[in-house]
Amino acid sequence: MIDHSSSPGEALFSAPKLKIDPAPVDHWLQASDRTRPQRLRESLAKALGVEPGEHVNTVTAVAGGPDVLVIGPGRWLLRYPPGQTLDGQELLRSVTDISDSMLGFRVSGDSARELLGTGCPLELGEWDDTQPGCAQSLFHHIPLLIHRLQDSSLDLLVPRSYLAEFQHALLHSARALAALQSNAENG
Amino acid sequence: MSQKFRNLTGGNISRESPLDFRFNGTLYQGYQGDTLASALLANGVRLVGRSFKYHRPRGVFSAGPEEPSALVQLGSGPLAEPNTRATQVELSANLEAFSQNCWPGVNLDLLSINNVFSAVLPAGFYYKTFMAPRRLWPWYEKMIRKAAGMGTAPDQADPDHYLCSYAHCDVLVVGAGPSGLMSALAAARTGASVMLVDENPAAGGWLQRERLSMDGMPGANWAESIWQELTDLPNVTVRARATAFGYYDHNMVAILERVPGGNDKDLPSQRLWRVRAKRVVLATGAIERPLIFANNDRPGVMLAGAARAYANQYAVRAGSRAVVATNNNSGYLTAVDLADSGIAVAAVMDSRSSVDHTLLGMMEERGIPVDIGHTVHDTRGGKTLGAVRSGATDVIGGSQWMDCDLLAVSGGWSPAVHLHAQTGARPVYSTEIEAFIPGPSKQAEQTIGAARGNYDLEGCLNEGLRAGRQAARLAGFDTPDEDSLSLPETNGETLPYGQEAFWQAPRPGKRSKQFVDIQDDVTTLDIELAHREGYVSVEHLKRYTTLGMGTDQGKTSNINGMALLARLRQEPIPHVGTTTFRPPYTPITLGALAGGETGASVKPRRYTPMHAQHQALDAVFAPLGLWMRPQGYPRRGETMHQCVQREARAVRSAVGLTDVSTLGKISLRGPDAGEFLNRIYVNQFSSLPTGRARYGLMLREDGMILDDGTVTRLSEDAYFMTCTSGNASGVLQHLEYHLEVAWPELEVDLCEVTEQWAAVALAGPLSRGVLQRLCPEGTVDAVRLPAMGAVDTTVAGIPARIIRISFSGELAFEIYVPSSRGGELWDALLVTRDNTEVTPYGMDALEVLRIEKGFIGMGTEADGRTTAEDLGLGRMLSKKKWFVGQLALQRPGLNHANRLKLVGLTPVSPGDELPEGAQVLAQAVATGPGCSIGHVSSAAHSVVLGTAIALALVKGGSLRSGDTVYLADPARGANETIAARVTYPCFYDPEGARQHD
Repeated sequence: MIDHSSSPGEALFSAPKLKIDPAPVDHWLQASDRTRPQRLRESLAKALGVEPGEHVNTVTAVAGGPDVLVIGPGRWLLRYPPGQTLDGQELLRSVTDISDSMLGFRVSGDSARELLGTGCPLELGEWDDTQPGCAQSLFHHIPLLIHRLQDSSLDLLVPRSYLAEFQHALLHSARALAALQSNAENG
Repeated sequence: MSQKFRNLTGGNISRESPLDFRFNGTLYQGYQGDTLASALLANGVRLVGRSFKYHRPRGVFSAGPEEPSALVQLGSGPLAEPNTRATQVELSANLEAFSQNCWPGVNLDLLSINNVFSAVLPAGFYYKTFMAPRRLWPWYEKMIRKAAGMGTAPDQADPDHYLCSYAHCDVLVVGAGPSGLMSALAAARTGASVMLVDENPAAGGWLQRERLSMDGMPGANWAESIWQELTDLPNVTVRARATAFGYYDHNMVAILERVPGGNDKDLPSQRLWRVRAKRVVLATGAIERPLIFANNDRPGVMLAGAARAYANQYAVRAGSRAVVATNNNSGYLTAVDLADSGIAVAAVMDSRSSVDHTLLGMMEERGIPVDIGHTVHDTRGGKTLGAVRSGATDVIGGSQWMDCDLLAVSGGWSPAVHLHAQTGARPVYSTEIEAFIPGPSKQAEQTIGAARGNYDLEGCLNEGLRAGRQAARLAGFDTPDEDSLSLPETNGETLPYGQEAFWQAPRPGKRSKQFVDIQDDVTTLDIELAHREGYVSVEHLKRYTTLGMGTDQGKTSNINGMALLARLRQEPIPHVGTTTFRPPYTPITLGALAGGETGASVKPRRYTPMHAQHQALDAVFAPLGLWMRPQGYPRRGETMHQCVQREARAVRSAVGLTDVSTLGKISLRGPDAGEFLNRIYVNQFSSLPTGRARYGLMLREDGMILDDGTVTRLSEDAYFMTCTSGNASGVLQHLEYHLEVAWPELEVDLCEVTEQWAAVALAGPLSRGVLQRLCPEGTVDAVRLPAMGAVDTTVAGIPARIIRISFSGELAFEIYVPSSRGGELWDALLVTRDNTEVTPYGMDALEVLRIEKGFIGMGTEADGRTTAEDLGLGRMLSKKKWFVGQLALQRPGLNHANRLKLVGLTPVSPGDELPEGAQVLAQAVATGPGCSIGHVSSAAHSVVLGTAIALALVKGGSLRSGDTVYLADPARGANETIAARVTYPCFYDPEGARQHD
């Protein structure tokens, strides 16, 4: 299994069109209000200084603060860099710390989407690469949160207990894709 | 090594790249671009295999996926692949292939004796024979399976690996023949994302096999140029060697791509694509039908189009002296191409009554005699064709024998409607081309070209152009001006189809074998027999005779079979209908379907945050759902039973530590959370004080137990719920459903936090002492943390939540810490400062402790059929409030005295074990079905009693206390039972004094 706390900057896999690194271990909060989402959105706006997105699968980047991922109606994920957290958290009755729940990998390069497509049935073709975004899906039956970053690399995050299996599946696919690419180039 | 049937020029093969290969151990040579079939024919190998049932000699019959005869075993050992069509195997260096279904060899096959006794082996013979004596049937079955077979599957694990991928596109085009290429190009020009797949290594379809000129170049070159143009477009993906084999709901097409070999160990041998397209264009071509006449299966009898393909695409002469038999114009093009490739064409036999004079002119030019109104009646030869007997179509027995070693037959063409039909559409019969053509589409799909019955090249190109544009338009793209993409100029011999149905030649002898399904050895006699015996439905005919049930799925036989059945039924063919087209179009390797999900990865495994610690302690793991949990921690020389007993004893007498991180955990917040819990659980929760926990039971709507667990109140409107490990997602779904559908007005928010918290249970009389030394002073003393109390604190400096709760019957604490610190907590608890030995214990010891206490288990006692009353938990059912499942509990059936109820069992003879799953009988001997009065739901060997104990669900429950019952364990034999005494279902500390201490 991967030790996410060690070897920062060391790639897990590297090929000409694909790189896999451990995703940063960030501080994650889930904020949700089923019955009155607008109330929570306003509270978040007040606390963050920026109105978070409303449409599912969009991401709002807060300068010097978190990325706010809309994962469902009335459900947001706040992704803070380590050491930061939400000011006035006690004001929000429905914020849950889930920082220890998810781990994953940062995938970058031209083949990043193809790699994702080896286990994830989601249609990614219509994603706007210039905008960050997010989506929830599966990768080989493993629940998956995709966080597309500004630079179009993908953070693929899974429940912590699945990490070893996810790594195994991801590397199996990455090696196969690299071999296919090399095979094609060599005719 | 001579390739004496290979022409020196021509063909789309690379003579600069010779390849050695072996067939049945003999070394041969072919070229890059060959298939195994073409290379064998080039080397003069005609006899390739033996037939399925009669073991008759068989050779190459086609040049594509429809091949019914030339099935071979590729490779050996774990890489062996049986039933491979030689016509689709790309020749590669050092390829090894073997004939299959023959013994001792293909040239001398002793099982060909079946052919001698074929008169007593008609269709369905095994339904009528071998009836007695019944006990010998297994032996008969074994022998039948041995005699009638295909290849041999390897008995070792497949060392290849496979990759699965999902893809999406606007337009998927299946087939890169002329119509498919035009369609893909037209769609691509609109900017739509296009995927084009073809099962062959090179584009062109039939253009590879013809000698047409397009835009001034050979058709194959034109196809290659369009393929290249498409490859270079950024919005197009092209995949060669990719067979679309299944069409599923919501426009998902499954495609198997074969990856040409390489040396990289990571290179997958095949890649399975699941492509979802907004629009699908099917340009899958057509399949030629054979003619039906006596002994039409000899090596050397070949589809006319295939003989032509071998001549044009591979520069191979499939024989030296050929006869062509046809019922349509394409047979004449075959005769021309065979003659031009150097094969002497002895005659063309045309079953039609009249023929266009142009065709006759072409034949005259090459000196080929034409017999109009004639066909082949019979053939002769041994392991290869020696001669054919021709005659008039309406006269029994032919009049003239002609020597030849190649008979090219064409009985017309059937559109390949397989994928179209898999969408759920019903093909319709066209009397114009005497074949089934696509009916109204059921999905966003359009079938074009030869697959729609259009056999005219210019028509196919036009249709492809229109279909590509239309598909793009329907996918939301603007189509360009009509003139922006023009059709290629074509010239060469193109002829109208001109087919005239001719389904069966007169049978020369009463028992002459006229094969309809060459792969499964189904003859016209079999079809007639089936009809006589009442199998008049095409579906019944198929199953009785096995028509179309081979690996080729009847691609060359189904239409002919239907036509014969129609004639027997004296009805038109459309009234007979087709059988159901199901995936896969061609056989698919199971490994490709599995992809990486094999062996240990067949399902994703989940590991707890303390997994590394368990490994360091040499734990034996066992799956619990997807979780891998320690079953126990055996010491050197210890059996698992000894290990479990030691671990359980340690908890009863000292202190044990177990990992319970797998418990489902849900955070509930909101002012209505208490009310929500009241409705979900059978007992009251809104009255639960902050800092206290309560055991709860939740029911399904039908009153049966869904799950149990605990709820801890953290603050006025915040609760922390745990549920059973294997049921976590089901419980969350249950909660979400009721919040979203039943009570959307409740202000409650749920958040699953199973992964957020690592958890351990520290249990045993010494547990408080161990824990206290790691917590702020006094945190866990009996007053500040009484039974069912909860506190947020630190343990070994780690922020933690401690709940004093026990599932072992001992003083115990559940400790929750953030998952990232789970390992740290485990280590801190295991290594105590005062050398108290803390024993790690696994699931099996946990089970012993649970059963001793009579605590119910989900899936064992609560098996989806039991109520709270059944399990002795009726006192928990609140009478002050409503809860899910309450109404259903009033049904008389759930309150019947004879329901299965929980009891305990101990053996009458102390040394006896009580087998889990055993049936409980009232008498010592089973009196027959229905004599069971219950079953053993859980069993263990008690560490406190020193004997076996069990929980059981028994009719009458506690009313039988003190009774002797008998356990029938089928594994021990039906007549042997074990006597057991019915007891109260708690074997240890029934007052609960130890856990409440």
